[in-house]
Amino acid sequence: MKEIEAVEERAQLEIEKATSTKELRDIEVRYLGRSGELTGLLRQVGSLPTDQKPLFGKAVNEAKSRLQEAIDLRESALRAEEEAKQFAQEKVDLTMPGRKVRVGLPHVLSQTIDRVKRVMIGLGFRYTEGPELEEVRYNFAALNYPPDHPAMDDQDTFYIDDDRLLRTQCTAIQGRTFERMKPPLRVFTIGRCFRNEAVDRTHGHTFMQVDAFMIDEGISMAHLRGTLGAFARAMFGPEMTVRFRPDFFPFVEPGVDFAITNPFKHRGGGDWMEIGGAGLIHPNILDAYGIDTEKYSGFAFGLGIERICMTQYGIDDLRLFFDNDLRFLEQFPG
Amino acid sequence: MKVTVEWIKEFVASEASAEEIGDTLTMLGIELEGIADSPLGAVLDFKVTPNRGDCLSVIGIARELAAKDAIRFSPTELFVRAAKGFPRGDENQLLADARVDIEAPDLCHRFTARRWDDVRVVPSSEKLQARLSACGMRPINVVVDASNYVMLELGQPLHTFDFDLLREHRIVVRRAGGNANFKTLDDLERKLSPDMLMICDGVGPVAIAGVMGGANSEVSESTTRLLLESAHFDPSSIRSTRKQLGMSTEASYRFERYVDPEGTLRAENRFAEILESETGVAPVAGIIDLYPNKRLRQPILVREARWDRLLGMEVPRAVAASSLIALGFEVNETDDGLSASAPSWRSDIRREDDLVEEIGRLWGYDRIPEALPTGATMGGEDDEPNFYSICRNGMLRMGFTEVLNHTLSDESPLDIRSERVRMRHPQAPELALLRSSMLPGVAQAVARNRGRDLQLFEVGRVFHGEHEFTMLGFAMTGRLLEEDWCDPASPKADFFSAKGVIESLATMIQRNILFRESDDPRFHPGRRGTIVTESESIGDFGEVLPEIAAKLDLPKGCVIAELDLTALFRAPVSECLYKPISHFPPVRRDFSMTISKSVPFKDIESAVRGSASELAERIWPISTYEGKGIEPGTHALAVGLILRHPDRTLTDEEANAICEQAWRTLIRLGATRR
Repeated sequence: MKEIEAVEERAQLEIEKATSTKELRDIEVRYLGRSGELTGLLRQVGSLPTDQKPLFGKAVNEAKSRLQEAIDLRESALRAEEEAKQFAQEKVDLTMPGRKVRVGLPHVLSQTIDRVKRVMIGLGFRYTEGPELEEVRYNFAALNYPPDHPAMDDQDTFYIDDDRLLRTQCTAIQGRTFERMKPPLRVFTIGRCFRNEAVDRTHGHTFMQVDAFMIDEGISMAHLRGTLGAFARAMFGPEMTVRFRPDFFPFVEPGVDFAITNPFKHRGGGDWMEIGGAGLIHPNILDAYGIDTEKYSGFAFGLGIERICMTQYGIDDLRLFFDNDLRFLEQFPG
Repeated sequence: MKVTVEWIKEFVASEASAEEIGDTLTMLGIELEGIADSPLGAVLDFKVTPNRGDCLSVIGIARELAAKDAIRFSPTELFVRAAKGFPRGDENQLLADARVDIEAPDLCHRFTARRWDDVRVVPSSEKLQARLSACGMRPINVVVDASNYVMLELGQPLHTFDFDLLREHRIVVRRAGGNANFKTLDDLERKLSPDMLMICDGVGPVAIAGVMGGANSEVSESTTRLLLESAHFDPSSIRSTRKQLGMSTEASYRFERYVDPEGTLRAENRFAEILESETGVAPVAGIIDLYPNKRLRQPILVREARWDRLLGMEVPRAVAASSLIALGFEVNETDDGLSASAPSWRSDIRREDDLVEEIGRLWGYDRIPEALPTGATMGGEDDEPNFYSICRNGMLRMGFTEVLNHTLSDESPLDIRSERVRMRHPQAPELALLRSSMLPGVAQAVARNRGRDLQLFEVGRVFHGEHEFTMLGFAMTGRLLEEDWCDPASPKADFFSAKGVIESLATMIQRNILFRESDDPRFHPGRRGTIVTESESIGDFGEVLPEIAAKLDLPKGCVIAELDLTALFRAPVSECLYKPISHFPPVRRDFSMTISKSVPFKDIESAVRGSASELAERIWPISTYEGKGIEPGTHALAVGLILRHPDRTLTDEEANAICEQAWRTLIRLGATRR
């Protein structure tokens, strides 16, 4: 029995002194393994007097389980230490940059277009598209431009031939729409328009325009103002209001230019951001497409994408949009 | 149009500042573009819309102010005299010794003339000169200055002839009839065309009607007798003439925008008044006034219910009536609204809604409330543009950055279609053609960012003959992942990178895309392909031909591609259907062989697939190798096969049997086991 105690005491001491899980594993084998010391003591049972056999066996087994417990305890402590050491060794330099991921960036103008599109669809408008190379009649005559009228001077036009031009305004989709759809309708488009202008920081021969229109019973200037207000608030926040000023476009009557509260006034600029033209669809157009002007009326508005985008991001040169310098495009990760 | 505030205040009595006047007019639709200073005080510069020719005059501006705000702007005595036409009392007497004939009454609706004898062509007074200068016109002599003055004040362009230079002392208004040359008073030879309206004397042209006078009848310092023309011409005829001649004058600008036909005599009388006060010389008594084409003004009915409904606000009938009266309309009240005849200077008023605009404009658009339309419509997007959005997003998902290039373009070795659309009057080579390919644009974007690892794309319209369609173009160059410190050796984009992008896009848009051999001269002859659907060719891709790459400053090995998205939109959709997932383990077998490079992988793949049939889950090239130890013309190829049974575990024996069968086919193709 004394022998058991001695062996256990020695083992406990070694367990305490063990400095690694590997050392502990050796101790375990040495004492508790199949040819370990305590296991060896158990074999002596056979040579003991019968009455001592159960007692001795029990004592050895108890010592074994105490040692096992001590080993487990010590092991988990040592493992934690070792892990901590390992982790410390594996510590990264948090200030090193992350690995590059190739992210596709939408063009900054597309980002504005996508936002406008979401808002307009939310207002119940249907997105459609028309050709950029348009028939002269859809661009002018169908929009109530009298033949050879100075209103066309505002829009120096790229003609292909007598019948075709590059559309000067997305409003050109109106006639095409009225040919295939009946009121009530709410339709909009966004696309490229072209005007033969000298190019500088604020003028280009190509620009992006949103054009929207709706026809229903009893549509008024108040609905136009309300829709533009809702649009502006969805785009720029709840404090937006809309200002109308009389203006002239052959395809609307009354015609207005409209401005919204300048949401970027903190960056300089006036109280208002003038972004487009609007009005009630001219009754001559409704007549031309067989829409009863006593029953129906409609509004139309158009606005420039570049203006919104430039004001929002503080971009001061229109030419950057088509320059494709990544140093510019990457500033707008979308 | 530039006008001094002090001149405006000659017509409306007001204490309003220049800024207040500018604001009031802007809110009426006559936009103030700027305020400048002059010796006569503030000069306002207005942008007048093309429908409002009447506002290209001091009196027009004054009338708007008075109509908008009668309290702050009341008409002066001068305004009232102007309204009466500055009468001289000799208007019923015929001017002697001169004759006018209008042979083109469709283009010249009215022609009025007065004559002066004993004029002295001297400089005008300082006051006159100061006003003209402040309004942007150069003083010349009292005759020219007085006519310009009247034009600015009343909007009626006038023209003065040296009466003694008018042969037969006669004026004939007719079409040019031929293609003669004509020297205008700026000493330039102008080429006439037959339809141009000309002012002629007894022999030939002396002025281009409404545009510019001729050198042959110009008033000079030696002129003693004057004939003054004040006429009304057809706006579109003037516009067409001045466009053909490539010129624009103060006179043509106004005539194009409609000049009051009732104002011709008033302008003559005002000119007489000015000239008399400047030089003391009065006109010869009597006038000539031919008015073959008088427009009758019909009253237009405007219903109160309609203006309330269209404006979305209520404007009291009395307010509407007084606004229209102040603007010069003749107004009568009817049962349900008003009946109004437009004044002679308003050619833009033609139907009821035009009156609604006037009523709303004067009441003020700031009073219009906001309201949202009721009634439901479905918001959404047409299928075709939606498909293009999906393609665009697909490219973004694959890590491509979007660029935008111009539709107007130049010649390019990357744009080689035969029927490119050309501008009628190209102003510069880079604006002469519409693009028929997306490749020049994406290539240019690569060159623009030279030295970087790039994956760029654009979706846009291209034009070919009669067709307009939407294409995707993309370009790849350099490392697939940008260089970073963890893994400096990222693989580089090559032909198969582009092919992989096209294949992945096809999956995303659920279209079946195949590849065919290409003979497109824009690409490396060994690294190019044509992209096809089951029915048509829809694009090309490959490595840019080195010669073209060098010319366009593209890096070596740059791959570019373009796909016709409009054709893909129309192509049949591959159905997307759920397939049950097998719960049994896969078996993998690799085939290692050497085989002639002329055997396409497609044949090797089908050899393997043929034996595995439905059990083949995946067949793919693991690696290829050529070089040391491999016979020239052949390569070492390893192909992977994954087999899986839907309902049970495959045994080794079954897998081996499949492999042996595959090997037999491969060997027939010329493969040697390695």
